This record gives sequence, structure tokens and C-alpha cells, in this order.
Amino acid sequence: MNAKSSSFQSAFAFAGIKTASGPTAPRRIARRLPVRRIWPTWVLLSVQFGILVTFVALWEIAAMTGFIDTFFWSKPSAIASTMVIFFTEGNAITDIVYTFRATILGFILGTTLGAVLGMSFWWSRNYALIMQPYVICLESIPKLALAPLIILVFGMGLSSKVAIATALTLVVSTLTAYSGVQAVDRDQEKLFYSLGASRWQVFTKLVAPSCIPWIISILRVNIGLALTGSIVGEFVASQYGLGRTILYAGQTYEIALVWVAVIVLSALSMIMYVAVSWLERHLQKGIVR
Amino acid sequence: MSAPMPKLVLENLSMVFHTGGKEFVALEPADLVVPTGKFISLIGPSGCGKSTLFNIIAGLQAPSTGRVLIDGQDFTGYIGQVGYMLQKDLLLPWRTVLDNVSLGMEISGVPIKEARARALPLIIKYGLAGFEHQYPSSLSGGMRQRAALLRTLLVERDVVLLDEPFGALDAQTKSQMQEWLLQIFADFGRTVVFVTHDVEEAVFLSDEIHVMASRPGRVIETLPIDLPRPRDRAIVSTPRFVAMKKYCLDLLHLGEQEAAAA
Repeated sequence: MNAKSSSFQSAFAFAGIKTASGPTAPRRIARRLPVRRIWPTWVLLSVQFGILVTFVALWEIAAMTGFIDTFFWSKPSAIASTMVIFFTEGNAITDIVYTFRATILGFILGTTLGAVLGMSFWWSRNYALIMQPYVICLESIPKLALAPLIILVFGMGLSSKVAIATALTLVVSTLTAYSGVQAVDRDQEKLFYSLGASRWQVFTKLVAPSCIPWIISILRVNIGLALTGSIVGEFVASQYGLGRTILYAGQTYEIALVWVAVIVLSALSMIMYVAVSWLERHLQKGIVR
Repeated sequence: MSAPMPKLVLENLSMVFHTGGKEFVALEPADLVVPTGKFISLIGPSGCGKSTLFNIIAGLQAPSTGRVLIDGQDFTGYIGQVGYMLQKDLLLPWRTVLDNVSLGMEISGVPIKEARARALPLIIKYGLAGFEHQYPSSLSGGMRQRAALLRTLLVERDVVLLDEPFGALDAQTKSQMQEWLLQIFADFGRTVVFVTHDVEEAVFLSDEIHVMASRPGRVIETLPIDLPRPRDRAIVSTPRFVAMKKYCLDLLHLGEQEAAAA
């Protein structure tokens, strides 16, 4: 060790650099690799729970002391009792199923059609080049702005909500699947053709499987988009649904009911998130052949 | 015609690219005759047209002039007529080793079950036993190349093109793989065209070496390697081997100097 450091020093001296003995010697920084300790799960869970409880408690206290105006913000206790009423007396299940169904149908339609459309661009470069400006155009249109038009065309029922959810998810899925197509390894394509493969074989055995991770990556994003689509559809015109409940509650100043609907929506979205995570694992496990 | 028909014949094959009014000669007219069951190597600096030549033989590029004859039949511009192993192993990450090796057969229309049944004994025989149901990500570089080569061989084409298959391997694995390849070559009796940068590798494996030069890409010399087979690693230190290796190196060096002068 000593021999090593002295040889370093002499090397520095040789190079004309002041060594440790010099007056302006730079201080040697002795830094250890930072240790990142992960707390045990029960600690993490109790901290998470603690944050939630504190937040709810602070909200309740602030409402009781008049620090916040319950007319605008409501309070946890009122929300809880409204939740009970919502589930026991109202037509909660009808609304939940309505919104859920539109979201899932839109999610499936938009993702599938988008994936198929995006991958179809592999088939012909000319077709892809011709379609490109239109796809970019479609992407730049704020789809939600078309909601009133879609309601006019598809009516007030479920199909208009599905259509909006589809419109939102379709374009993103198309673009992502197309990126997947473009990322297919050229050499891999070369290998397939050198084996005498037809275009259809290259598509089914190479292009489609290569795109699977890209399509998986879009699933989570699409849940949020599909949910947004169906809620906005209900905002514009609907007889049922959680979006309609929120709009109605807001207009009649039942702020607690707004919160109830928002909480139920979040729960729904979490359930779908879990379902998609499950789907992801199964897709990745090699359904692909 | 008394001599047996050569397996692969390249007739006056050339490749010229036109980019922005300029001509770039990737390959000057080349002739090559490969007898059935022979192992020939192409060596040369990068840009000497080796890959272009391979792409043309495999039907992935159309030549500017010339023809590719297999068994005397014109196959210029037809894909799937030769086995072609590219530099990278190109194993599909979502397929197991077994299914990767079966890919070529699957593409040529062999039912998947039969393809697997044919691939499995070879996987076991040629050093991948126990890995048949693993995914490529869990294989070492040498094993991946083995799988890729088996995939190429199982397509049952008489001519096999190998483009620097061992270029990315470490020295020890490389020499193991060379011996493995010689074993395979003896067992399968295919006609092999091999591209490499490594002169020793070329001399060790081949029956004939074609030395190429770049700018423009062309074949400058053909050198028969009359070392006896089967070959043992010890052969690399015999005077005859060393002399041939030196001769090739000198030719390559000369080609480089010419290119630098031009």
C-alpha cells in the first residue's frame, strides 16, 4: 500500500504536479459507496397508513374548526356517510357497471384496433408513408373536443361512451405499435428471408412477437385514457354512470357525493390496473409462438 | 465433362452502387467455384465485399452482373437456397433454444412437432444438452453461436454460408468452437463458405482460401490448403501451417498498402 502510494506520488512529481507535501495540495476525498437501506415491509406499510390517517384527520379537524369551508371541500365523515347512502339507497351498482363496461369495451377496442393498425404499417412502406400525415393529424386533434359530436352521432347510450374511450386509446396504441414495428431488427428480418420465409411468416413469427412488449407498455396508459373517455362522455350527455353522478352532484352542490364517485372511480381504475398487470405477465410468459 | 459438377459456382458476379451520380464498386467481377463438400474461406479487410458477396449468394441482394449457380442451376435472386448464418446469432428471445433451432425447418414448412423431434437429438449431440428448454438469454456466447449454427444446418441446404460466426468470442471459446465446427463439417458433409478476419482460423478450417482486397472489393489470390484432415489443434505450430499463415498475412498487408496508396 505504502509502496503504491509513494510510486503514485513520484509519478505526480514527475509530471510536474504538486504532491501531497506541497502547500496547495488538493484534499483527497475519501467517500464510501452510499448504502441504501430498505426498511422492512411492516415499517413501510405503517408509514403509508399513517400518512393516510393523518391526512384524513387533518381534513376532518380543519373542517370542524372552520379552517376550510365544508361547502366547497366537504369532510371525511360526511363523505363516509354519503358513501353508505350511495351504496345502500342509490343505484350505485348500475352506475358502476355502466362506466366500467364503457371503459373496458373502449380499452379493448382501442388497444386491439390500434395494435392491428400500427402493425399493418409494416406490410407496405408506401401505405405507411401515405398514412403517416393522417396519423399525426389524428394524434394532434384533442379527441375530447370531439365528444359532443360523437354523442350526436352515437346517441346518449353506451356506444357513444365506448366510442370516446376508443378514440382516446386508438391513436396512442397505433403509434406505439408502429414504433414497435420500426424497431424490428433488420438483421433478424434478413435471417428470416435467408431461410426462405414468406412475408406472412416474417409477420407472424417475427414482427408480431417483437411488437408484444410495445403493446404491453401501452396497456397501463390506456386504462387511464379509456376511463377518462367514458367519464367525459358521461359529462356531455348520459343517463347513468359515475361521470354523470359527479356532474349531477356538482351541479346540486353535493360535494360529498362528488368525492364518493371519485373514490369509487379510483378503486375501479386500481382493479383494472391489477388486471392488466396480470395480463402483462401472461403475455410476456410467451403466449407468442 | 468428366469432373463432377461443382456445388456452387459464382459467375462474373459484381456489385456497383450508384449514389448521387457517383459509382461505388463494392465488388469487382468475381468468379468462384466451390466443389461439393469443400470448406472454403474468404479473408480480407472490411469493405472488401465479403458481406455483399454473401448477400448475393443468399438472394438478399441482386447483383449488378453475374449469376449464382447451385448444382448448375441458376438461383440468382432466390432466397432460401443456401443456409446463411449472419455475424450475430439472431436467436429470438421469446423462443426456447429448441424452438430457435427448429425455426428454419418451421419456415420451410416442417410441422413444429416434427421439427422439434429432429432438432432435439442434434442439440444434445452438439453441446447444448440440458439447455433445450432454456431461453437464449441464459446461454453463453459460444452456446448461442452453436444454436445459431444448428438452426442453419437443420434447414438442409447443401451450401452453408458462415459470416464471421466466431468473431465476437474470446480466444479460448473461439478455438473450442473451431474444433466443434470441424466436427460438424465432417459429420454433415456440407459445402461451406466461411468469412473471417482471422487468418489462423481460415487456414485451420479451410480447404481453400480466397484472399480479398478492398476499394474496390475483389479477390486477389486463391490459395489451396492441403493440410490433412481430420485436423488437430497441434497443426497450427507445424512449419507448413505457419508458412501458409504468413503468406496470407503478407497478401493482406500488400492489399492494404495498395488501398492506402490508391
